[in-house]
Amino acid sequence: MKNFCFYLLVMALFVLSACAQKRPVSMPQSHLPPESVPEIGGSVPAQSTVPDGSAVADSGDDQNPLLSAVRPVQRPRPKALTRMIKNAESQLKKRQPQLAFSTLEQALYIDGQDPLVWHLMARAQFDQGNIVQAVSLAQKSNSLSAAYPDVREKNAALLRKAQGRYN
Amino acid sequence: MKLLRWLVIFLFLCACMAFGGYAYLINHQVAERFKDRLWDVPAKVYARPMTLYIGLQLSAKSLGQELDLLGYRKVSTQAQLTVPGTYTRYQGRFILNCRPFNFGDQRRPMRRIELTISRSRVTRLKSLGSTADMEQLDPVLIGQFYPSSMEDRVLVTTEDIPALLKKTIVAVEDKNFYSHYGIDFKSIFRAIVVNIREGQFTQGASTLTQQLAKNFFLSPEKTFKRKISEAFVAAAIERQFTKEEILEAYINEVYLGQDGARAIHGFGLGAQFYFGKSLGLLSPEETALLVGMLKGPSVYNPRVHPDRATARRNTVLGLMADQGLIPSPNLTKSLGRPLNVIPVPRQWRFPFYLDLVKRRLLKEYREKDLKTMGLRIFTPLDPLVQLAAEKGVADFMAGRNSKLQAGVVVTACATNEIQALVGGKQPKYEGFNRALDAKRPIGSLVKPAVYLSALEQPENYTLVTRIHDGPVSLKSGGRLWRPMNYDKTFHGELPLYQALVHSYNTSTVKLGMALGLETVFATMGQLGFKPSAPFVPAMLLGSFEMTPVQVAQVYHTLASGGFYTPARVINAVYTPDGETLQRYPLRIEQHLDPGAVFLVDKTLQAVVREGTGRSLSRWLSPDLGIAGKTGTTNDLRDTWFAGFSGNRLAVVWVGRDDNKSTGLTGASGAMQVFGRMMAQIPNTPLVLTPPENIEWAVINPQTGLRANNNAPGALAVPFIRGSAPVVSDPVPDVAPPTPADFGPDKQPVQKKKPRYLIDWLKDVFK
Repeated sequence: MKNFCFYLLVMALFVLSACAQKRPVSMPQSHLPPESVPEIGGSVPAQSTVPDGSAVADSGDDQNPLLSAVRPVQRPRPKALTRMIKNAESQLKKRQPQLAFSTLEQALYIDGQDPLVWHLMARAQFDQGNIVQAVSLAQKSNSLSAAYPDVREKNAALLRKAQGRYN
Repeated sequence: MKLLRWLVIFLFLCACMAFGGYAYLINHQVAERFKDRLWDVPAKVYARPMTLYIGLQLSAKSLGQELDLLGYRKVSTQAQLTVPGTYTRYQGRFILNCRPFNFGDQRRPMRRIELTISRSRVTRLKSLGSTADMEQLDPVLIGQFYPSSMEDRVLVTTEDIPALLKKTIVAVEDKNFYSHYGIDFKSIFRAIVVNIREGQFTQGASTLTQQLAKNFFLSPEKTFKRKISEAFVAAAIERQFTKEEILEAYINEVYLGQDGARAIHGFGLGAQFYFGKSLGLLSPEETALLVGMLKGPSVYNPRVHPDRATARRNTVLGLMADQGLIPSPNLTKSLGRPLNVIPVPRQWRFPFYLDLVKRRLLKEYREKDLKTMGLRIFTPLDPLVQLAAEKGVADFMAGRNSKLQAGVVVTACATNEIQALVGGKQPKYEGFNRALDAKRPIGSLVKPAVYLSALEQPENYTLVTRIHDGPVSLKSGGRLWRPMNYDKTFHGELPLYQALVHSYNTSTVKLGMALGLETVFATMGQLGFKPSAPFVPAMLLGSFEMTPVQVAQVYHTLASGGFYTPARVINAVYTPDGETLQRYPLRIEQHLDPGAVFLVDKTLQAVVREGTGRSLSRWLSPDLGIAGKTGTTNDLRDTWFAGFSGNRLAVVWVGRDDNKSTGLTGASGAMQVFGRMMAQIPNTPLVLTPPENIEWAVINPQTGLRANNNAPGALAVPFIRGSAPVVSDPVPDVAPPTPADFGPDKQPVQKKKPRYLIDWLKDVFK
């Protein structure tokens, strides 16, 4: 009988919980705002996706209907910027970090928000032994890399290496 | 008699010794002077080189303006694109014959670039006939630091000098140059005979070496003593240097005219000044004209006396034909050709910017070296942005109080490089550079620092934390201080972000006092400028002084997500030989939490969209998402606006030097300049990337509680992770929470959010 009462109570609470007015709301799983709700300060222009469709997008069909998460998208990268990034990578491979840094400084004229450019700048500084600058640049890259998990991983690896140099 | 003979011998020996001694002394001096740098060459200051790539935002008008600044000549057909520094244009299609340029760390050769601009974007780019990803033009020369003599020259080496020029100079000025030893006695004798016969001084006999000696070492007066010295110096030069070296020195030294206060020296600069091309590209007629001008640069100035100059040029051409330097059959054609002289190249000077460059350089270099060593200084100045800033100021000032003045700074958001600087309403430098030197109270521009201090404490403050806007009175300096809002009303309880959006004073002061002045100004210091102590409450409303450049530094840290980057005005300094003297690479330091800065930046976007900066939409599309803040000081003395797009940040101050009222606010004054300026230059939309520690929640701004997506007035609000309210807005039949439930000290309890129902049940049973 006791067991029956207990289960009854649990069931009752379960039903009541569904009707609770101050029920907790799930937290958003995205760190980008919901698309269907006006944003603080008004809407901002939609970010366009990379033409080759390489934008990061999660399946997300089972999102909480309260918060339709916006998928983080990568910024379109002009060909000139892609070329400069390739040049910088090749200069880093050839152990020309100073030259690579100059190339990347030029790349910032084209897009100052590309996290890969900032990551490579961090590497160029790291290769020159400027660890403090390398860390700052990797952190800057991180602050821009919401849609670039690969860049985040590279930054994390670089920061770990930098930590190793400190210790 | 014997004594007399000994006396003569003694005097002769003394004379020989004096002669020898003098010759030795001169010889030594010549060696020293030649061993050191020979010429004073002014430092040259360059703008950023324009980088072209497919997708670049660039209007055809702007490219035309850039080419104009570069001194490129527009020609009407492709066939006329024969020399570098020319271009042709058909609607949006440009074909450029680019000049070669030595950047110091890399050389760009002469080449042809084709590009198409459609809808203000570069849509096609070809270099040397094939598709290119990127191209770079040579940079605009924005100014020079001249020596006191105001001599200007472009140094050329023997390899750069065309053989025809050398031969023509020798043929016209000194036929026996290769055979004499500095002094041509035959020519002197011939000149004496001619001058005696004609009864006046018509013919000189100075050799090239003597002319060089005169220009280099001696005063210009015509005395016998000077002539003797000249002969000694010429002989010393001949003794120590080869004929080629002497000719090279001569070609770099000679005076070829005047451009205002600037003296044009040497054929290198002469070719540029008169024909807009380098020495190697001169035609025989142009060579003849320049060499002919040696006889009298002002008398034969081709711009002022084209007839005289043509006659003189033709005389030289005849001589060249006689000497076999040009084929005789071509002579008739050459004689009939026009002078082909270009208009005086405009000296595009941006004196306020140059003032800043010079101040920075003088921290590391001696002024004398700057003016004489021929340094090449590369800056990030964007001439198109600079012109837009100057025009923005001029357009705003038109028809307004003549005592209004302005200071403008524009920087690149990514790098904090200063792209433009305006130090007064007249582009002419008057000795007072307001962008650098006008220290003025900043008014409400300080407020983002107050709110940032609060948002750095997410456990206490979020954007929707309710704060109170009401009467406030504080003791400050023994007096009671009662700040008021600009609209003279109080707004009661309101979300924190609204207080910043509408720039309310009393709520800001209350918030600042709750946080503590030390905390607020420590944040200000992290942003890039900490006012000096003691701190008083009025400083929360910007009663302390800053210059526009200092404000730009502070706002740049906001624009770059909390990363501090020292402002840069010089990228690199090279010696004339292309050796790197100094580089100024980008340097950044994380000073603030990117999450908290993101919240402030979002609010600054709201300032422009719906707050004190909303009238900016008159100039700029809301789609740009500009973030900004207005500032006005007591009695409308100073008006400020600081704002940024995705790629550019600008700070504008408008006020009066006599510190009297302008009658303008930040929105009706400085912001109007900002709008006019930014509307003329390419800006990318400001799409703020939320850092990893940001999460979003849908909020009812009236209550600060969570709401459904479809609730009326629901707003998506960013929070530092873990600080979003967990309590949802009650349905209408439930009494709304009282204001006492909120406020800085009554933030809804931060609970760990239950993710699943079972968690919630556990919570209930706890």
